[in-house]
Amino acid sequence: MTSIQTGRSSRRAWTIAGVAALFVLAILALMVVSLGNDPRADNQRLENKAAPRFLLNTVDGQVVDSAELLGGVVIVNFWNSWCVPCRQEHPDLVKFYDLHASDPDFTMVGIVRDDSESAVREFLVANQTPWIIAFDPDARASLDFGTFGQPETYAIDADGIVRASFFGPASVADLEQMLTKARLGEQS
Amino acid sequence: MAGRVVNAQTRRLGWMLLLVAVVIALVVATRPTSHDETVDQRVQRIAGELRCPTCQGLSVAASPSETARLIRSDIRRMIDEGATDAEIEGAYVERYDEWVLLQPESRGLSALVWWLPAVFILGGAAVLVWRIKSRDVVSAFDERSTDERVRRARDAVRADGVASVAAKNPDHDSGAEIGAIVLGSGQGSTSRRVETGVDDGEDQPS
Repeated sequence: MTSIQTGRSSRRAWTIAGVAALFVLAILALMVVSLGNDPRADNQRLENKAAPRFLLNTVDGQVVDSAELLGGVVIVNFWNSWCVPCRQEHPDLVKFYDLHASDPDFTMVGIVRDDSESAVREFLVANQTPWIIAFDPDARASLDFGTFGQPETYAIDADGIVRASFFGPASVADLEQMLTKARLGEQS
Repeated sequence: MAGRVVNAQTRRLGWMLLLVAVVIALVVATRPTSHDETVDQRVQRIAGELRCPTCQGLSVAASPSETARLIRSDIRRMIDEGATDAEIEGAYVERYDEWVLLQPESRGLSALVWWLPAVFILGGAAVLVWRIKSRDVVSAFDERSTDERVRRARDAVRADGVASVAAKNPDHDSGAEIGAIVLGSGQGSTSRRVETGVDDGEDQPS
């Protein structure tokens, strides 16, 4: 093989390697972009946006309308009876609620996501749950909040704006932090 | 000869392009339209375009999960309320961002998904055309150089005779080779050996 042929082959090999490297880089860039767009990696998606309105039946036969809760802070917790992290979170929710139940600006609503009414009632008999529990049979509220699972918790300020959100079992400290943000409203 | 090879390659490229055009036409022609679609079919189609939020890589149409079932019901409800496809998809984009669309939008960074394959296909076609053209140039050059070699060999035979050429190159069977070239073969290794032996003079014994 002459030196010219060797040079040509080597140039061709470099060209092919360069094109392949560009292709791989482009695919990697796309993957990074797609991962960056995955809202499951960003639970703050709803923050500083108006909270979706919900109008749901509660376990005790009442109706809870989020529009009527404007003027105070609202903690919304999506949960269900079969979800293990929800069960783990429950004692913290109870402690947190007990700390703020008498606050005049405070409301806490548990919205049942993806569960049967009977299973929820059974859970409530066995576990002290003094805050409002509402059913979401057609998942309107769960979908409007763009939930990915449970537990998911949102803190809504007096103007109906979501100020904090938490995916997974929240501790008392997490919930306190969320409540503070909601109370601070725009300043947070 | 090289011209025929190039013609065959061009013809093959033409057939390939025709085949691609036919496949594209078939895909476009057989694409389902939204006319005469039942509500169920419409729900399935829209659900097929949405990513199931609680699944890994499944569409809402394909997922057996409870969330996916609820989303299908929600889509049906919106259809019953008279929402258009764009409005339904828009509602889900508002809730879950563009991530929820299995087919990314063709703007912003998502546009890369649409443009990159086209860029690579066009780039590949450009490389293919370039390769065919450069082969064409090399073939034409070979053809010219072969004619040149035959002409030189003829001149050498006329000037010195076959015997004197053989005397100049005792290690090569130049006489037979040149004879073959003069008789009209002029191809392959024979022509290369004549060029080395007669014209270059590099291998000639001192």
